[in-house]
Formats: sequence, C-alpha cells, structure tokens
Amino acid sequence: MQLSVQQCGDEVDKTIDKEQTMLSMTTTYRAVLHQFLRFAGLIGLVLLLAFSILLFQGHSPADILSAVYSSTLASDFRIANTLNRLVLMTLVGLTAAVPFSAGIWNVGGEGQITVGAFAAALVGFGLSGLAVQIHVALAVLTAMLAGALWAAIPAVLRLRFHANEIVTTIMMNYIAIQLTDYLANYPFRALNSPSAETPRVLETAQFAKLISLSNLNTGIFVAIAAFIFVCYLMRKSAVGYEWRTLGKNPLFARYGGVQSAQRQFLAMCVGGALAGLVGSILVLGIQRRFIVGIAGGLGFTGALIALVAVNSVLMVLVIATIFALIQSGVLGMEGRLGVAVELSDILQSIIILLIIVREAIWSWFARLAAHIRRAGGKDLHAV
Amino acid sequence: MLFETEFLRATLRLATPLLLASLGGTFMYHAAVPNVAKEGMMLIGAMVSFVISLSSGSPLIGLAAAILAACGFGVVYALFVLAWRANVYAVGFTLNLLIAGLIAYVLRTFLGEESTLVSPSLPELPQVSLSLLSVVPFLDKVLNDHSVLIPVSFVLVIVVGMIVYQTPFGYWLRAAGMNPTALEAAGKRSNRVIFVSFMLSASFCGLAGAHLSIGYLNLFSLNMVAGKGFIALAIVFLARGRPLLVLLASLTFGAAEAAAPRVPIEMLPPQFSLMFPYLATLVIVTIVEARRGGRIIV
Repeated sequence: MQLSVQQCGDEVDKTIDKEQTMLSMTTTYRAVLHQFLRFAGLIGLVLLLAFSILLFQGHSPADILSAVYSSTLASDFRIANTLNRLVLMTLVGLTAAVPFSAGIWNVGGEGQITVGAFAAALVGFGLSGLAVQIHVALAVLTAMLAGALWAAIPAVLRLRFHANEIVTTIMMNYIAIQLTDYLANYPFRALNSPSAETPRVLETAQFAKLISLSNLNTGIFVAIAAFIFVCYLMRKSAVGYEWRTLGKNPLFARYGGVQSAQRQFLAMCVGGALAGLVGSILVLGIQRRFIVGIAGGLGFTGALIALVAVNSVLMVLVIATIFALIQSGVLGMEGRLGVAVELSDILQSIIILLIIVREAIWSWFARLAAHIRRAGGKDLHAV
Repeated sequence: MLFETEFLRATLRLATPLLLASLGGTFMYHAAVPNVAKEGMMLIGAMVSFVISLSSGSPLIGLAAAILAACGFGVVYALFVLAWRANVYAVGFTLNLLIAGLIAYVLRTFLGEESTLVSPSLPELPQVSLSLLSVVPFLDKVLNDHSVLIPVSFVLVIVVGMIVYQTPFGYWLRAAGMNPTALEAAGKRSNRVIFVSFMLSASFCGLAGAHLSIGYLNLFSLNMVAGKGFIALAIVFLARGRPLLVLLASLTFGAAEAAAPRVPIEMLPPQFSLMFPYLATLVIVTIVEARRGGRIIV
C-alpha cells in the first residue's frame, strides 16, 4: 500500500497515541514524567532563547545568571517578593480561568483589578474609627464587590444582549482606567501630592508586611483562602461541574438542565471578585494608596495564563510560578544590566504560544523522527 | 458643531485607521476566522513605518515595510491557526501581547527611547487634493489636502466590496467560511484561501498603523493604538463584514473620537473625552447586537 508522507505521519501519530494511552493505563507515573519532561523542555527552550538574546546584546553569561539568581531566590526579601508575585499571578490567572472554564471570555481583568483597587483605597482612607479586622474585611469585600460588578456589566451585555464579551471586556478596561484616573486626579486626590494618587489608607485598613521592606503581606492568607475556595468550587462543587460542561459542550449542558446564562454570569462575577481581591491586596498590602496604572498589565498576564489552563487549577499554579520567576529575574536584570523589563512579556507570550500548540509541535517532532528513521532504513537497504 | 470643517476633517483622519483595519478584517470575517491580532499588527505597522521612513527617507518604502512586518506576524498567526489548529482568539490575544512586548523592548534596547519616537526630519506621507472638488469651497476644505491613505482607504472600501462579492476569490473565501468541505470538494484548498485572507488582513492593519504614525501624527508612541484594533474588531462584527457598513461604522467611531476633545475642559475633564470612544463602542455594539437578537446572519 502506498502512503504519502502526510499519511505516514498520521499513522505514526496514531501509533504514538495508542502507545501513550497504554502507557498511562499501566504506569501512570511514567506518563506524568513524560509530560513533565516535555513541558520542562519547552520552558527550557524559551529560557535558552532569552539567554541567547541577552548574550547577543553583549551581556556576559555570569552577569546574567547572577542577576537572575540574586533577584529571585538569593535572600528572604527576594523570595518574599517572588512569592508575593506568584500568589497575585495565581489569582489573576483564576480571574480569567473561571469564566473560561464556563465558556465565557474575561479579558477584562485589568479593569476589574483597577476598579477593585480604587474601591479598597476609598474604604481604606474614607472610613475611620473601625477595628482593624473589620476595616480590612470591609475594604476587601468592597473591592471584591466592585470587581464583580465591573465583570457583571459585560456578562449581562453578553448573556442578555449578545454583545461579544471579548470586545466589551477590553472596552471596560479602558473605561475603568480613565474613570479611576479622573477620580484619583480630581475628587479624591491626596492634598499636596505631586502625582495622581489618593491619600494613604489608614493603619487599620492595611495588610501588615510579613517580611520588612518586601511586598509580601498578610493579604496572601486571604489570597490563599480564596484560591482554596475556587479550587473547591471548580473541582468539587456542582457549580464547577456545570461550568465545565458549559465550557466543553453548551448544548449538552442545556440538555442536562444547566441554567447556562445564570451559571456563566456567576462565573464572570467570581472572576471579577477575584480581580477585585487582587486590587485590594495591591492597595492595602503593597502600595498603601491608589495610584494611576496600579494594575500594570497584571490583568492581561492573568488572561494569558488562563488561555492554557482553562480547566486545571494546578496548571494555573505552575504557570504562575514560572511567570513569577521570570518577572523577578527580568526585573533584577533591569536593575543590574539595564535590560528592558518588557523581556518578561515577550518570554511569557512565547511560552503560552508554544504551550497552545505543544501537541502539534510534538507530533511534528515525532513525524520528523519517523521520517529520519525511515530514511536511515532505506540507506541500510541500499547498502 | 457637526458641520465645522475641522471636526469633519478630524473625523476622516480618525476614522481612517479604523476603516483600514476593519476592511482588512472583513476578509477574515468572511473566512469565519476573526482577526483578533489587529491591535498588535497596527502597532508593528506604526513602528516599522516610522523607523524605515526615517532611515530610508521615503515614506513609501516605510509603508511597504509596515505591510511586510505586519504580514510577517500574519504568517505566524496563520501558521498557528491553520496548520496547528489553535484557537484563533487565544493566539490573536497572545500575539497582541507578544508584539507589544517586542516593540517596547526594541524601542528601549536598540533605539534608546523610553516610549516615544519623534523626529523633525521624518518624511511624511504625501498629501493629495482633487482639483474637481475645489469647485465647491466646503468640499474643498473638508476633503482636500489629506494624507494619501485617507482617500486611498475610501477607494479600498469599493475594492474590498468588489473582491469579496464579485470575484472568484471572494466566492471561495465566503465558501471557506461557510462550508470548507464543499470548497475542498470543488477542488480548492480552503486553507490556502484562508491564508490569503490572513495576509490581506495583516497588510491592511500594517497600513492602518502606518497612517497613525507617519500619516498625521508624525510620531510613534507605545500606546498609540490604544484599543483601536479591538474597536476595529467590533466594527467588523457590527457590519457583518459588509464594506459599506464598515465604512459607516468607522465614520461613526471616528466622529465619536473627534467629538470628545472638542467639548470644553470645564464641562468635561480630559479623562472622560478619552473614555468616550470606548464607551461609544460598548453602547453601539450592545444596541446593534440586541436588535439583532443574537442571530448570526452571514
């Protein structure tokens, strides 16, 4: 039987798939190891790319490595900052991942964080005479409510009026940024402040720093609690099951009696509330006031993470860890070597792009290997 | 205010990048793959056209380079979506972030600027006038002496309409969107047809970006596209890929953008006039989609 190269490749793919299935049935741990090695190889490839770009720019390898190490893991202070980044990144990842899992897009994390941050600041400096726990809790809850509301608007526009949520959530980002810019510039601007920012939040509304001078603060306990709750919601609850069904097969979900609009609305609100929580941690724990542009692209990074971790909380955590290390490392290189900080955006997007098409890349490699093997075989016959 | 010549001129100027980007998007819309990476393609067009025009001294070479650069990313986009079957939204969104990062990195590392490129010796795109129009003073004031891409984009509305609805290619394109299997059965490779639509869309976005930087502002800044790519995406959805409706929607959004800064600052702080185009997009998209009731009409 004559087969074209394409068909041969497909045959090989099928065999490989079959082998993998058998493997996973008999020895799961080997399959996991296999997956892990491939994943690590992929990340390694991107880091190698970054390394060669920096070498090409004339930085010495020793400088690069020491700058990266000293800014990510060298001291308690650095580890604390990286950990803080990791926690925030996980939450913003979930901000987009929860709605994604229910089949609705939320790329409005940036706006939801901004609005949440502003709400937290407003409660933080606006109310006084409250006990510490109550003030903090109030500020955090207001921020979560604000974030949820900001996400609810595009959700309603999508579910009730059929407006494309990718377009509307992005528009809501710009609206949130301009609106808070106005609010921080005119009605709520701190007195005698050179830049657009609100007054400092009161002592009673602050998350305490866990390690002095670092960004790590008690807010991460709230974040971890929220993370565990969302894990439960997505993996173990009936709502999570309905979300997954909606995301994978909306027709089936509706046939099975899922109230699709209600559930998707809920998913958006949960996402928005998480973004609001991130905003409140930024204000109450780190900046201690609202400053214009406080979200700083965090919301977009979250959407990026969620693109490849739709139904897996674990994957959100893994990618958030990698991103946190990359960001800390690049920030260190900016300080020491003057490397532009956008390098981390580039690396993150490339990692996500490669993960999106990893199956295609692996099968391409497999096909190439099979091709080479075949060619080798032919040569042997010729001899 | 509506008939002030300055306002009308600004409307045309601001509508053009939206018009170009969404006209390009109509090709991909008809092939049922929305171009979500317009934002990034416009940004790279703006940057490349600025740098190349400045270094070569010719804005036309800059224009060609912008198209080439945008097409480069179009090839990547098409590779992911067509060859590797990746989600068109996911890849487009990531490409936007990748391009934004790349441009900022190149600007800071190799050009030594923080966020803006300006140069007094930048060659601008030529301005064109039609002597026929100068007979009527009002039309002369509104329509003449515009940067060349503005009249070109209006001509392109007709050209795109002809390509999509009158040529064999347009026929294949719409077939590729509606029923690729039928197209394959008729002996055409649907992926090839869709690939051409990627290239056309990318070229138009490159032109749109070039219009932003060397068309009338004569500078490049990192946040100069500021969501225009997504407004263009909204326009394509609103117009369902019909070039004349695309023109109408682009002019509407251009007018929204031109109107806002004209309100005196005591009445409306600058943040609100900057917010206005996005708010208008949100409202118009909602109203039109609500009236359409979620039905998808090709």
